[in-house]
Amino acid sequence: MSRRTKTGDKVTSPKKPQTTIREAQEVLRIEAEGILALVDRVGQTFVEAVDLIYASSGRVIVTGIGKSGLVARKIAATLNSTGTPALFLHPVEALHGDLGMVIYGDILLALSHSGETEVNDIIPTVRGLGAQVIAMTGNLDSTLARQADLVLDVGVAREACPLGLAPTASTTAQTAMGDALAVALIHRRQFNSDDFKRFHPGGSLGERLSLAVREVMTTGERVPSVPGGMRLGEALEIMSRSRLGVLLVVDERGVLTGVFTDGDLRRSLMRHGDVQDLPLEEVMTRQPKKIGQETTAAEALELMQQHEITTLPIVDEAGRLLGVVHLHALLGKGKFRFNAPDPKRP
Amino acid sequence: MTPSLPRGLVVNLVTPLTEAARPDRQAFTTLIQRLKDRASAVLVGSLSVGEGLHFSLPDRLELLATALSAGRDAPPVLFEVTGRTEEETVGLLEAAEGFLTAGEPSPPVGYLLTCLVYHSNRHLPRHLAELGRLTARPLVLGNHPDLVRHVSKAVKHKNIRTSVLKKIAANPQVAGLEFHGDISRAVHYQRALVGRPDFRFYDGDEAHFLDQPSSSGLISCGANLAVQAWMDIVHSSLDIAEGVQMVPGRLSEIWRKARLVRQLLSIYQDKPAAFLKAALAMTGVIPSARTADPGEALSEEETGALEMELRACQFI
Repeated sequence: MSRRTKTGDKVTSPKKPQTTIREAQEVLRIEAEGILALVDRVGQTFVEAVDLIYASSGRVIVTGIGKSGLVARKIAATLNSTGTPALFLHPVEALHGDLGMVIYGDILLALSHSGETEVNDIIPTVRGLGAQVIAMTGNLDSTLARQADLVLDVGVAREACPLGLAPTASTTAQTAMGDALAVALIHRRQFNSDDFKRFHPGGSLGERLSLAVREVMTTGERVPSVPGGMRLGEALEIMSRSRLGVLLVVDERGVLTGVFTDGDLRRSLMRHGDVQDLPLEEVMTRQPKKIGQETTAAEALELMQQHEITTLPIVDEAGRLLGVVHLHALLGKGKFRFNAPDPKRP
Repeated sequence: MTPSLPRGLVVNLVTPLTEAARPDRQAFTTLIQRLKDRASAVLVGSLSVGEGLHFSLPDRLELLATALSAGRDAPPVLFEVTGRTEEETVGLLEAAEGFLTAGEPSPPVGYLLTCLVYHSNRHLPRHLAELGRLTARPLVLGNHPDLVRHVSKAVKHKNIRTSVLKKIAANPQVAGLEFHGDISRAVHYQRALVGRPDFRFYDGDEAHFLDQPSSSGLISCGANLAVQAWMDIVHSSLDIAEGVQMVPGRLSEIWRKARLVRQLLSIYQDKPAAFLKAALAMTGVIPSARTADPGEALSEEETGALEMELRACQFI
């Protein structure tokens, strides 16, 4: 089969289409297998790498040369896009002054398939500047691996490109491992109160989060508890006075039967128009989220984050209302916001 | 702990013969001396180009002894101990162990086992465990379906089954595999051994390595003749470009060498031992092109074609 170019030159294809298709399929299969092989190699070292980056006070300095350098640039961009400050450092430029960008507390993420490139030359200096080193290499016996604090194994069994003209499966594996790091860090950066305590154990907030909620909850007359038969007009006055944005509905035994929030009020107005005379039990949220009094403030905070609520009723074993805890009681006003995006904002 | 196997170029040595069809110790030494600076290891007495099955146990041991005596800087040796039967294999392994234990300190030695020549997949892990008890040296499996088909026509499965390989590799003493076969099987094997990052997958098929190189290296017979070209190609492939100095012309030089070895491969691939010995004899490296199986000897026409090719490639 032949065709001609615009200039009239005859273009012939020396291979059958099936051969070309098979070759392409083999390349894709080899690259896919290279990534699949990483799945079982992701273990404790990977977790430690994520912890190290997450806990660091500095930036992630990503470095590599050749094709690994290009992958390093991509990883730096991905980290930046996902909330982890990162910079690319060319190892040769580093030796000619660019090492000045490395500061105490940075993490050097060094990429090299062979582990025997110019990247190794900058590691002693980087260490001297107080940065820790994570190696991403396919050669666990290499100089790079030996110098690193942590080694992420991105070795592949086979390359898809002939003669070593260009790395293929190995750079695909590096890219995929970089993505795995970035995504794991996204999940770590979602607000997690346990982590907050871990990384700020000496702060007043960390201290407060380790308390049981009974020590910080609102109790007694300040708890806006009302019977289910109360008309909404009267209930709203109590709700406004309490300034918690919630009413806790109880039965004659004091058992919590529902809650009524600002959100419930908006929905009631839209549905019924005039709501003054409606009984609370018709418009309240039944089976609300609630916790026991020994629950830690950290766990309460996590539940609030998970369900995007700001108050939690506290009940005893029989379901009787003991008190209520508000987000501000846990954290203090103005010091906290949920990570979840506000749906009302564009 | 089993020492790890080298990465890189392992030269699958031909066995030069005397007029009496015995291994030619002197020529074998010359051959190794010529290669040793460029090879990561040498494979001695292989069933393929080493014609191992044609030699007696003492002759095969003699080959091992010769390879080990190639000087203080002799490369590591992979010694094929496969026999026609289980008993022959055990006998050769025990003899080699006895020789190595009694002898002078030597370069590292591992054993190549192409067990499917005499043993089915059934109970193969147990058989290898038994062989492993005879030595502390690393074992390398040979998966060579064409060779198995040639030597042992009655064997049903010519390849090690993937599930069997997985069981075998649970033994850390089994440290590598010489692979011949298609890419699908290679992928399955690699997937099965994902928990063994130390395991070496050597390509035994040169054409395969040229297209999609294993990151452990190549067991090459063509390197008997064109060792520099193969070494450059293997090193280029294993460094995978990133660490290689991109000097001007490097790319075209690698392409030129790849074209050269492909050209040679097309000549010798049907009868590698015979063609390679003839080529080495024509270039003056070994004195005789004699093969262990007289039926393998080259015809006049084949010899003429080889000579033309060697001249075209400027070997002579």
